[in-house]
Amino acid sequence: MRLTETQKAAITRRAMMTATLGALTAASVPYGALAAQKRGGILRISYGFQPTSLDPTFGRQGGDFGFLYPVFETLVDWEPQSLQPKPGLATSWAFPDPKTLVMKLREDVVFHDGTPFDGAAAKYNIDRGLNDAKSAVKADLASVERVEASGKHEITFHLKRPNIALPGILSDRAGLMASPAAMEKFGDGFARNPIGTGPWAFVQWRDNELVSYRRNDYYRIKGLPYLDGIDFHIIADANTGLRSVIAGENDFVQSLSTAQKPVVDKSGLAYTFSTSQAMFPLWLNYAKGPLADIRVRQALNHAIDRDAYNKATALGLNEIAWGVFPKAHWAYSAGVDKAYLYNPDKAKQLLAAAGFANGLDLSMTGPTDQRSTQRQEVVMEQLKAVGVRIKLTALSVNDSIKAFFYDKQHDMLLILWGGRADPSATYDALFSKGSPFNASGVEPDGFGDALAASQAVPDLKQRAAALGKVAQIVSDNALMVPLVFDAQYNAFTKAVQGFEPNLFGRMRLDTVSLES
Amino acid sequence: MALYWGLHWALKRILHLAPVALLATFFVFGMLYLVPGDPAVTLAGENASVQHIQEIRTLYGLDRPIVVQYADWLGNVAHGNLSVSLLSGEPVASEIAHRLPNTLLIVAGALILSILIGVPLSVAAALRPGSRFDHWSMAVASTGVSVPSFWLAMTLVSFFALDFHWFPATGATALSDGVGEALRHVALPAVALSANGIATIARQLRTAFADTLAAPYVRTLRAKGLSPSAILWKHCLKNVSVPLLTVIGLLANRLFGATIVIEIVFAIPGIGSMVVNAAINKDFPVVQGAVLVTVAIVIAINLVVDGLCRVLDPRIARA
Repeated sequence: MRLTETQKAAITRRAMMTATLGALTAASVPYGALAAQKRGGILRISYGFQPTSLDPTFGRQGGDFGFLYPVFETLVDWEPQSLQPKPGLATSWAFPDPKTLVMKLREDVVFHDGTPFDGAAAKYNIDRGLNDAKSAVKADLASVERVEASGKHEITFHLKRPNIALPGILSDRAGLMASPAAMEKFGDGFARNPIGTGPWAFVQWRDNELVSYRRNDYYRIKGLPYLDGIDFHIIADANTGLRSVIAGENDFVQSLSTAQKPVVDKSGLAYTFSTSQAMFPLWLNYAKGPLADIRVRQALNHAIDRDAYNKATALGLNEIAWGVFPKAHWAYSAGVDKAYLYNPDKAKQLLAAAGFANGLDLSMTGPTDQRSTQRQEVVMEQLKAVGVRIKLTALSVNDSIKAFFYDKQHDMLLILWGGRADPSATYDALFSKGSPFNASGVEPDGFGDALAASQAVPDLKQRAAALGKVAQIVSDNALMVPLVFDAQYNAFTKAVQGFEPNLFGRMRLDTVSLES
Repeated sequence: MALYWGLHWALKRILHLAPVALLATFFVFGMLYLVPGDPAVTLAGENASVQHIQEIRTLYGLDRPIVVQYADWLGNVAHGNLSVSLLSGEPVASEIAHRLPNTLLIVAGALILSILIGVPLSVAAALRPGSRFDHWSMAVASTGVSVPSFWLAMTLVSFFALDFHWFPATGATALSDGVGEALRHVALPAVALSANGIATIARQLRTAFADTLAAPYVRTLRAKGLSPSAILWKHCLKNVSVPLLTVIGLLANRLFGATIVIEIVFAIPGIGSMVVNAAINKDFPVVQGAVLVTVAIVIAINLVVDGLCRVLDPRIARA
């Protein structure tokens, strides 16, 4: 795939960040003024959990990215508002044949330890992701057979099968580049001594207390970052985190609940409220029991009043989900919009046609926290209205995931899906028969071919059309019950300027500055 | 000779209590395995295959029999090694060493406040049994027992941290980084935690004082012309010191448990919040290490209380 002119122009975007940020952020809710951002200051953030690891290859959860982005950069980057891929540490890429991906790398980049970033360093990282026993990105790189440093600043991926989605995948965890010298030096200890090419260098990590970064003076983009440093204060309770910002002990708190909006409004803090691709669906195991019948799955979709669910669980502020991508996403498909409008009568008819005229019993699992419980109760009440009786088993997050995906113990699961950088990777993870996130282990007819087609066309518009067909198959077969996209709600003091939320819902601070 | 017998007694008690510590750690270890959940799933990451999870399980030795895993942990402990966290890979001992002072400071602060306020309150109430003050103070004490510490904590933060900015809303400072700042940080958590302690001491001690003040020997002392303060502080206090120490001992143990909520509300990196995180994620070595240290502290407190009771009332030693 050759880069478009727009993508090439985007290479210099960060260098012109101050000028362009106004346009980027104008579409969203309150931000600080962006003109003439000040350099200096330590940003103090209240963050809800600590990283599972600061080694990008071994990290285990989406929330890690807030800690990884200050230190590491990806081979491929993405546009914050649409997630379209754009150059990162790779300046361009191309598929000379369907099973070969060649990437040209930046020549002006050094790691924080002074060693150069080049083809050999990129190969080292990808090889580690492919081969290390503890690697958490093996599944992401499943299409890669081997990788070679085909030039001083060039890397070539040899694939087992055509996969046009690979650049998108390399904008995710698998594409984060770490210093090979540091990985050799520290071994397993690299997770506590992370060294990348990002705008800040790692300073310290005190478990469940503090993670600190300070400016990388040799960052490749002149003028950035604005902040001298970032201190992440780990505060598990969101209410406590918010209080710490109101009290002036922190500058920024991330991932608030909409229930906290009245407090934020009263406090006079600035805030951002932005759609992300993180979605709350009802995950279904359609390999067994009543859910193996498509009419039952369709009935469940018709039984959910998404507006009422949104109002009850998020003050109506989230975006309703009909498919797996929000409207702002480049792969969003309008074709599946409102395919299953709230229609309890139709739901009852479908259930009756499937042989459940007197209702049916299903089991569901999900996390035990207060907000999850609220979501579960709303869904259970709505399904009860059409005769679907739910037996809920509430567990911890990890335990509910294990019970549903690995032990196949329940018919349904209600839990957040964070999404993948590439839409084909998202569909692959959610619905392919071999994916750990497909509890059913089966996929509908035509799905595999449609997904393969979405990975075989280079142009984004053509890909979007191909992905629309995948979305249609998923919707027609009612493979899940999409509910809402979880908006990212962050609050901060008015000294914080230039924060730019993104559709991924992953906090990035490159453009943030602090006024005195 | 008294010192010799004292040490002999303490050593005997420690030897008797060692199996208790061992049983406690084994019980917790077993409980963590019995409740649902698998640390290998957490360790394997978000999109791991079943095969990868099994590989991780083998890699970390989580597929070994529970007794073998416990024996392995115990062997490390015997060599002074509390092992490393499954999730972070950091030594458990250093994590506990970093967090324990924060928890101890809160507990000590709450205990001191409980004694300083609870004892005078109980004395004042016992001196005027049936009076309006007696009823009022015992009503306040009853409220103190029933007020949830997290609610009180949030109320205190709202007024004294957010409105008046007198105290910090979150965090902790080590004593070594400045006594003043450390005390400022510990003030609100200690007050929130002490409400229950003040009430407990006031109620328990009020009854003990009232009984003592009604005893015949106090009447004799009064008849002999001793001043009320001499009767109270010299004679009565000595007699109620054993129940007072017992209450303080029990209270100290209870406060260690109660800090979990307080540490979360004030975002204090202490032992309580560490155990909660570790238990949720099935980080066995961290939970085990914290349990071992907590059991040791509780045993030490009980030992000190029992020892002091023996000194204050020799009849206990002779019994």
